[in-house]
Amino acid sequence: MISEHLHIADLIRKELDGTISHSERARLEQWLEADPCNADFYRQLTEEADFGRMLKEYERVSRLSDFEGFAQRTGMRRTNRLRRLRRRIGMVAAVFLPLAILMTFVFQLGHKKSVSEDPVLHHSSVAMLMLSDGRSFTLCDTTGYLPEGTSLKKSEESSVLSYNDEMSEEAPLPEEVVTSRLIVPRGADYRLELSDGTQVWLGANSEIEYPAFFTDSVRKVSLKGLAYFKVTRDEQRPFIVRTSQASVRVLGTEFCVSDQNGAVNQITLVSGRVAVRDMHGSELLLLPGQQANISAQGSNVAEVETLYYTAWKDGFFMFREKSLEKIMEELSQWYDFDYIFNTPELSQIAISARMKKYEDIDSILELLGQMDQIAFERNGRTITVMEK
Amino acid sequence: MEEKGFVKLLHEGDEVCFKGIYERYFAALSLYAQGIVESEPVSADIVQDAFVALWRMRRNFSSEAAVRSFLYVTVRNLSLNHVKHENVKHRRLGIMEREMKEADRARKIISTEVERQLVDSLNQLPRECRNVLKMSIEGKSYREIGEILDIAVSTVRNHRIRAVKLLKSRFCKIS
Repeated sequence: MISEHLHIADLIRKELDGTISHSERARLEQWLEADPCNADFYRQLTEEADFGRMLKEYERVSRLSDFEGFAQRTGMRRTNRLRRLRRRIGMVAAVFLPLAILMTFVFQLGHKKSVSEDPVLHHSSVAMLMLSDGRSFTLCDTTGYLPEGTSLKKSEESSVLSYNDEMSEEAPLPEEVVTSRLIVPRGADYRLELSDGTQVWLGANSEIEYPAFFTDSVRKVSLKGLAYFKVTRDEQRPFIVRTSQASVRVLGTEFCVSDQNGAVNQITLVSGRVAVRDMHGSELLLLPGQQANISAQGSNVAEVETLYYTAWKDGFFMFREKSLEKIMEELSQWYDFDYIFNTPELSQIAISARMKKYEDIDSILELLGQMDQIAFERNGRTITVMEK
Repeated sequence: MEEKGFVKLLHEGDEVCFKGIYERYFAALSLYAQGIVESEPVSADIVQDAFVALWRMRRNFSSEAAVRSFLYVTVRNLSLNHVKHENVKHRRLGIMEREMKEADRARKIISTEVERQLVDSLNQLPRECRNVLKMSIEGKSYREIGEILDIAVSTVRNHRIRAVKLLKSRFCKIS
């Protein structure tokens, strides 16, 4: 019953917005005709409302809201600390390992390692958006506020925040263009579609800063962490990605940028052409399949199999002869955990593997634990790597 | 994914998620309750009780629409219960004066929710636009607003035009 009333409220709101559809308007008209009082009520609501008085009432009443009191009554804070511990296990071990060839170790099937059951460390799509005008948004649900001109889209595996281009047409004054900072925490990832149509996949623990729409002769963004860019071609306005050590200039292409600790920046080119400039001003031109490693000490270019650096955006991890230490470091970002090597030698084991990303960490540990030397023990958010 | 993500956070009892719902619904629900219990502090308590109930039952919801309905239903029931108890306490007999016809109650919920959504969209405006629009709704002239915010009258006008455009709502033309 109440949900029907609320639905009518949604329709009235849409009518006021001008976003109502034909069938919705038909439903609204049906409601208006059902009771002559409804029509009166509707007219009052839409034409005679005292918006000023209403705002004052809202402000007055909001003073009593007392969210802190609510948080205390519910023990919410404690629950939040423990929430991962309480999560039920809902996992399907659909992990692919056709290529999981261990270069130095024998792969032993059927020798399963038991994994502790309580907390499941999972992947999420929650990000935070901060604007230069001081507003901030949590991008986790449909109910939250979004800045004007943006929308959240559904996608199979992650959410996409997009900027509509139409905003830029009715764009008011250039000084009103606010800079946005999208922050993706550990244990999450996110997708972003910029106003020029450029798509950005952001890895865990990453940050990107960009304007809501590009007004300059260049399209400039800056990045911390890991991102894959699919840049919309625009010969007139080059696209520039700034990191701690480099700036990458492109016209329209696909590439991956990694600036994980501010030390060595890695730019991997998948297609097209990019120019990379380091802090000393020297410029490198990259061709597809090449990777630039830029640090304060200098830079070099290597030929690489790009798939190993970009598989994450398609939901996979691909490692080739990567040390277990580096693998744990990478996984700890995606699943937000800490790790300890009980036996230091284990950290140097080289592993090649291909596995699906959107599993909880336990599936991945189980898989890695099938190797005959390594065992894992997980205690909440801490994982100990030890000898079997 | 957004709805799924929302539901996931709701089930987990995520603080940010709950704070978002709390802030967006508290005032509207509280005003709605006031229409029944006629007391500001009592209605604030009732709304908080409704949120505590939501917290306890959070794992049973699979959409935001369901949460919204739950909040309205719970606030209404708690408010009516309160009135009943008060009537008993004060030996008031029989008729609850404020008892409304079902159709009026429905309309009360509709107007509350429409207003809630309007305030919600106003709160989404950029800060400057929002301030200008609020003052303009309160009946201040462009000149006065310009003096208060220390900006040019033309800027005030621009902000207001932009705000109205962003709201795309006829409500802005009122007053």
